[in-house]
Amino acid sequence: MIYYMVAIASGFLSVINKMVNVKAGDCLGAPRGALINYIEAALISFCLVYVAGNGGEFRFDYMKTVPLIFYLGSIFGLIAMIFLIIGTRNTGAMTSTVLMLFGQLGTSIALDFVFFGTFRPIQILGIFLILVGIYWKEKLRQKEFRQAIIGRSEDETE
Amino acid sequence: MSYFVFLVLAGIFQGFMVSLNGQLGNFYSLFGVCFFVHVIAAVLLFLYIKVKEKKPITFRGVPKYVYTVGFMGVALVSSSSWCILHIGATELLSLSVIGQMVCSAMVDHFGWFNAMKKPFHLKQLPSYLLVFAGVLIVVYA
Repeated sequence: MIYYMVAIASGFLSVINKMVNVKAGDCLGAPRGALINYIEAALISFCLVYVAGNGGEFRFDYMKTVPLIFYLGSIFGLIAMIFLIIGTRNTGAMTSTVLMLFGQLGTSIALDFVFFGTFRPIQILGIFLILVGIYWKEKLRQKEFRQAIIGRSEDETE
Repeated sequence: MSYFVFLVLAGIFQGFMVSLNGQLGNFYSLFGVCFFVHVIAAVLLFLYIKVKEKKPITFRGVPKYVYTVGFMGVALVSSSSWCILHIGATELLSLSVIGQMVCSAMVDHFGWFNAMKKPFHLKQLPSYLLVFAGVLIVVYA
């Protein structure tokens, strides 16, 4: 149960993090806004590793034993960010949210099968419902947004 | 059409990122995972800024709360890596959608971070319930 609660909390925190990152990007420009996040987080986690008494894991001979592919997560993250910016700029928020979630959840099902050997076909139905729900929510949001703009322009003409 | 492919690819790469970070947790402590994830990204981004923009890098002139992003980054990567090792990437990502939806609704409703206020209406509730039902199927079915 604790894992489920932490997973929900991480989703909650990711939105706050995104908002703060957007603010950092507004003030410093997108690359510097992201860089401040990465540098700070690297320094904090470096200190925490030593505080927790795990400094031994930074030995080079130990680092070499870890498969290289597992270090590439952040590179995949940067590539994802580039694709996301290109895609969102040309399609809009709703399409980008749904399509990205589709790719994310589809990949996680595949990788859970590769790494943990787990696959339940019923999960595909669950993911379908999640995507329809998100699409519906975004559609309503767009409609409200449009109505708000029309309302504002009518007020201005009066 | 090609932009749709870009967006699906963005999702695929993000899925890879989350899963690979989780797998790194088999070799390192949670904070160790955080360190490698962020330091590699920082080095790449630093090189990009140096090569592409050729301007000095400064972090001045931002509101004070912006400096908390690092703490949030650590909390996010360590919590997601911890969860992946125990419940897998599919359940983690599905559950985090609930957190994201609730938090986004609160940001919109209260206008936090100077966002435009968009009050929550009851007619939005069925879409939230549908997502919730989907997550329940992914987690428990």
